[in-house]
Amino acid sequence: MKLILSTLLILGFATFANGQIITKQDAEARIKNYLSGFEKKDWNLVASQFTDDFNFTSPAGDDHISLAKYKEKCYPTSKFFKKVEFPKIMVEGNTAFAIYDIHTTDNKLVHNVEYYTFRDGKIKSIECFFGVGNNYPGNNKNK
Amino acid sequence: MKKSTFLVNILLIWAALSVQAGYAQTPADQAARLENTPNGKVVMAWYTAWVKKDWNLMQQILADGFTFSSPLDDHINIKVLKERCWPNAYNLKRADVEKFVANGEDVFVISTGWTNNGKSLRNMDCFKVKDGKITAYECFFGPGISFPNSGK
Repeated sequence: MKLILSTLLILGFATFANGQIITKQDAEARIKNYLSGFEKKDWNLVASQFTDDFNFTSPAGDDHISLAKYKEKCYPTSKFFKKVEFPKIMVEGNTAFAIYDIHTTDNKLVHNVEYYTFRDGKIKSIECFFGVGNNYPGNNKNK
Repeated sequence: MKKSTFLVNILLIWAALSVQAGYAQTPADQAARLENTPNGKVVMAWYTAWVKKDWNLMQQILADGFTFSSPLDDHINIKVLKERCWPNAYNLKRADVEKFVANGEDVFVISTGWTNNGKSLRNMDCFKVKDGKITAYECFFGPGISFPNSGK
């Protein structure tokens, strides 16, 4: 009996220490809200989807940059955001993939995919991969 | 607490944390996990075909009407794939599955490839699989040289 009780306690603690698994709906909402923050030029909406120790990686020279650096470097692209669409979002455990299409104010398309990890119900990290299109809003790629 | 109880508890903590962390973390574990999903076998065969330069295997796993897309290729067919992209296979030494999510017809994989001279490419590979064959593939470029013969 003692063994069962202590086992349950320890399992409970292990679950707590490792964080809860986000629901599929919440994960999708986090992803959509953060990009909606770019669309609405609302930094608070963006930042409130992320953990404090959030980091961002992309092929445009971003190697696990911090939230502060992300705000400085990536948030200014929000002025080129016209509309965001999500052809596909897939969630598994505390990870997700999303393909998004950003239509920009200079009439370009950004068609990328991102890999997310979640902790405590928020986005802990983003890794961005560039697809066909303009790579990121405001980029001067000749397309 | 008895010594044996303590050991059991340590094992249980390890088990609980491992399960939650997704258990399989190394590329070899991820590949094994992917192989066990309904559409994972054919996706693993895709990587095998490139690394082993086995065009026959590739043809067997691609559906009629298959399309290949990347930032440089807009829905090209099997014939154009062979002409334009297949030569890259001869410069691909190894491909590892880093992360994946498989859901219905969709399998998304982050893979790392290595060329013969040790350069790396980390890409997102998005597969659509129907009736055991790959109907569409789209590649998104991450950090690295994008594709083996890119010249980067």
